[in-house]
Amino acid sequence: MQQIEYLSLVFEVSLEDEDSLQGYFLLNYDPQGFEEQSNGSFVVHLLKTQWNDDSKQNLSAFLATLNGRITLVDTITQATTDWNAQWEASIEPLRISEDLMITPSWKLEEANASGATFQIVIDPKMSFGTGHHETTRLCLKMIEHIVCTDKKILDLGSGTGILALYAMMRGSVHAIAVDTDEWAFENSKENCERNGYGSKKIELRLGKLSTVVSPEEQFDILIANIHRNVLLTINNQIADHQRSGGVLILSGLLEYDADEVIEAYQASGYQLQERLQENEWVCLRFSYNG
Amino acid sequence: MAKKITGYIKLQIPGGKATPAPPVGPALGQKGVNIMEFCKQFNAKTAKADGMITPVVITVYSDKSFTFVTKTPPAAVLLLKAAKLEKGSKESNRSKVGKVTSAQVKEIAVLKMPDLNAASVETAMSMVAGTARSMGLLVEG
Repeated sequence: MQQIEYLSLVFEVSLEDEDSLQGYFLLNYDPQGFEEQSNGSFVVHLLKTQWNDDSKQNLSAFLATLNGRITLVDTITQATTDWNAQWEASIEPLRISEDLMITPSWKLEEANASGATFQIVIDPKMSFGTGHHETTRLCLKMIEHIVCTDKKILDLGSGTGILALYAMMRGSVHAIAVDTDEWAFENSKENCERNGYGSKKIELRLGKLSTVVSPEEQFDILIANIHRNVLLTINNQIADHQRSGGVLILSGLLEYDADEVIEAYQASGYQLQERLQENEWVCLRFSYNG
Repeated sequence: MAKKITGYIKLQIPGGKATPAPPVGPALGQKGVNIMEFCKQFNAKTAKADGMITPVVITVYSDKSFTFVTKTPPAAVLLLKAAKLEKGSKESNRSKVGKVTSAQVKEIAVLKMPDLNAASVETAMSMVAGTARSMGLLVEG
């Protein structure tokens, strides 16, 4: 996995000068973001590759123009790690439905006692899809509403691999799980193996739909729990990979975004069949007869 | 009974495009908050910001749950947009990188009034114009 390094520049700066400092970094770099710490420090976060000796000199010159009102007090380098480890260590088995239990591997015995028909073992490593979020739960419930037996699956934005795993457990013959994130790709590989689904059953691909799924590959069931902006740009691409008579499940949508997404997919030949909602999150099921 | 608040996290990150990379990952992770869940919610709720730096204040509770509120983009971000400049677009050795009109400065000042420590629109305009000049933007009109 590619190791990315980040640089955090810690400044002492008054509230009045924060905008000037931000302006300097926005004009000269493409910051990852800014942070106002509880001790009053203001931190600029950059990719380490954006910073060199010239950068340091240019910053010194800029700070000199502000007559010492802004001081760089620390420079911290850090490599990507599982920043979510503390939360991940705290998760407990989770009952999704009468049929389904999600559990981390270290709580398997506890989950076994639940009597659920299906158990998915997920040890997340900075990847989305543990069943704790509404969008995942809605997809899992929607999978229970369709026939998966002998179907071929495409899971877009697969995260931990949880949705492809559940479709396989319910009878699908083959799944392709696609994610653009390297951590998700590696983690889904671990979770698929942990549940007894090797690469012949669930094939994992790292990249975008347009680059890692060839035009001739067709699927009975497509599932996408991803960002609404992405869903609104790939509706025709998705339809190109959908077999006639197939099912599409879309999630990751807030209630107020649903109508726009429904309209876009209807224009691509889909018919809305079911809408599930939990709190403000919506999951849609479409049929396709294109 | 109301949940106990254990802390606040103040970040400014690209709307609709938060990732676990810094500042999000380290800031939330050390408080035991589920980073992936935050990114999902933040990106869905700021989808239309499409990458514009968006301030967010995250409240963390004792059970590691969280809520957040977003604010208007920082003045520097709005000035960059008004001057039609991209992030990281400054060419070296240029003292003036672009220009904004005083009407644009006023528009930004009015929008930022709730966040600026300014008693009047005129004071807020003066602060925004100062930021513009420090960024190398000429204020016209």
